[in-house]
Amino acid sequence: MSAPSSDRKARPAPAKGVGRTSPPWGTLVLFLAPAFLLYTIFLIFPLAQALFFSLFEWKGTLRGAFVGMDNFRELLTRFPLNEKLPTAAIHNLVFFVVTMAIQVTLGLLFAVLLQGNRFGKQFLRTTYVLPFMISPLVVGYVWSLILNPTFGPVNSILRAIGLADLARPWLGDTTTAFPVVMLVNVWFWLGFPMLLFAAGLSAIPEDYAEAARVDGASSWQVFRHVTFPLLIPVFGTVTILTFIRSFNVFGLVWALGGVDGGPAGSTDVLGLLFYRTAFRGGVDAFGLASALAVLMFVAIFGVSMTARWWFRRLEEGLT
Amino acid sequence: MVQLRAYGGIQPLIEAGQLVPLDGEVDLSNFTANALKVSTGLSDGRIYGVPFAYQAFAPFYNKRIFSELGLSEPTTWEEWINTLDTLKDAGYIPISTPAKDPDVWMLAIIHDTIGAPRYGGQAFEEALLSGETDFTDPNYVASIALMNDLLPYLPPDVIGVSYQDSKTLFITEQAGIFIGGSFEIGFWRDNAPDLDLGIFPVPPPPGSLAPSSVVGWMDGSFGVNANSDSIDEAKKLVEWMGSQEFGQLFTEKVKQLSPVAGTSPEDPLLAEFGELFSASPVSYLHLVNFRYGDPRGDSLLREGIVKMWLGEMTPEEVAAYVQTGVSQWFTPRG
Repeated sequence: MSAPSSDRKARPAPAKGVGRTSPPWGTLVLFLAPAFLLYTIFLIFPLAQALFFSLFEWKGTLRGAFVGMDNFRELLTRFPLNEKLPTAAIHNLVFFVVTMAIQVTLGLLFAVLLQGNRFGKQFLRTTYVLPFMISPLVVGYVWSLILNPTFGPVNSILRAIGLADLARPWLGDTTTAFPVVMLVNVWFWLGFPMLLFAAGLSAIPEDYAEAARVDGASSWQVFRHVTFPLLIPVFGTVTILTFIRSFNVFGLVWALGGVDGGPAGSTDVLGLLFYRTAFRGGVDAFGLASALAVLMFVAIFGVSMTARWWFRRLEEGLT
Repeated sequence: MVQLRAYGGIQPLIEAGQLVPLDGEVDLSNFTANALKVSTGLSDGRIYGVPFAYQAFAPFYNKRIFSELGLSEPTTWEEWINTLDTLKDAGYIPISTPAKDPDVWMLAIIHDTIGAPRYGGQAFEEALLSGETDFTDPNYVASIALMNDLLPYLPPDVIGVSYQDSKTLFITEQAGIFIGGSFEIGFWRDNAPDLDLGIFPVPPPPGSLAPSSVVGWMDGSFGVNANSDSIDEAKKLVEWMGSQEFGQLFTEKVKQLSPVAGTSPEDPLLAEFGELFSASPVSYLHLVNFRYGDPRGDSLLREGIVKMWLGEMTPEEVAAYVQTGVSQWFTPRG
């Protein structure tokens, strides 16, 4: 049976004008327990475990003595790991900035255009979202075939239309490989910011824009001064999720650049570095990889929390 | 029972006590001491696996293209370069090779296939392991430089060419030569049964310290899981897997070279690989000796070769890169 309804908070206080109160504790626990349990098993526990692992010496899967910060020290000093770690982190950062600049801008543009478009809206929206329902590995593999310098259609088309000078080994050239990876990612995940912005847009009452137009505002002014400020919360969410995704990117880069982030490390990212450290390292791989995982978590969590706090202040400033 | 990786790859399992030592427990008399290094623990010297296959590496060539161009198997470095030039002039890709990640693993083996005689093969391996020399040895540097000489004969944009691509170029007869391993034969037979193939050892380059050789290594072994409920039965099974009966079946069915004494492969090409390797064997230097720590020697070398091809490193810098990385964990026996 449900909790007694004679609770003094059970009836809404009409004066507050809000038709909601907290359900009783028992109900809350019942509803939150499954999610909390899953969260603990699959997130908190592995995180704590990685932290624990990173403080010990490892021989294969056998845990040795407590070594404190030794694994972290080793991670930051072992050659060439000490050179690859900052390079990979910078690549993640560039990945984030470029993704924000192109993917999020395009996502917002498409969401706005689709918002005003009655014809084919559903179809187009589904089309843009479609790629990100496919596994990153599959997307990466298909693009690596498309961009194949010998058999791929991109170079064949360029040669066929007389632009042979532009044909190049897209994924085998250190100057083009990483930009190509980021552009494929833009194509791949465009639907994600678009969906979030579309949801944000449809939550803005039509009256605001109408009122502005009555006051003589142009379409751009309406967007700039009415719609965009109201999208700041969505923008915050998209930024933080894009940041987390950019620093955790793995499958796509793995399929396009290989496990070493080739050519010559030009597409190397932290995810690949972690994978190599954990599964291609020496006897002590477990400790080293755990240390790297802990560092990645601390950085991503720290920045995400700071960004959340900053966006919340920004929202409060607007209301 | 477990199928185990080779040399350095097996050490984490041994260190963690997950495998049962087999020396003194299982009959290993069908294997040479050298073959058993594949499953020997670095720290305790005990043997943890029964070797199942060995691989050898050499250029495959397309006999039809060679006879069309009047070419024969080269026996001197000059003839080898002439062969490559003739193929190139006739519009063929002389050598099909992958250099795209993650298929760059081929590069460290190709380096040994071409360069082992230049740096001195087994004698250099000995000197390196005893600490008399290291990777910055001028002869080793010269062997790395040979990879630069090879570059004009590889597929265009080779750093974008994957392993599958390079094999496709060879079976579609766009390339005359594919430098590959005995493990490739199954693929050729299945995917291009009509392709008439031959192999030859690369002739020694000028300045070589050792004669022409064929590079090879033990591919892995079968071991017994220490947590198994039936260790005795598993030992009996792996013992049989080290017998001539199993070895012969293995080489016939899987088309791989068996390290078991007294086995002979059915496939003529595979048999030729076996003969070439036993006539002039040299270890795949990095896989056999420099995978016992992190970073692995072959990872550093192939990374260096790609950077050299991209013009970012000189042969001297590649050698120093390998040396700096490996010296962090490798101690010569002195």
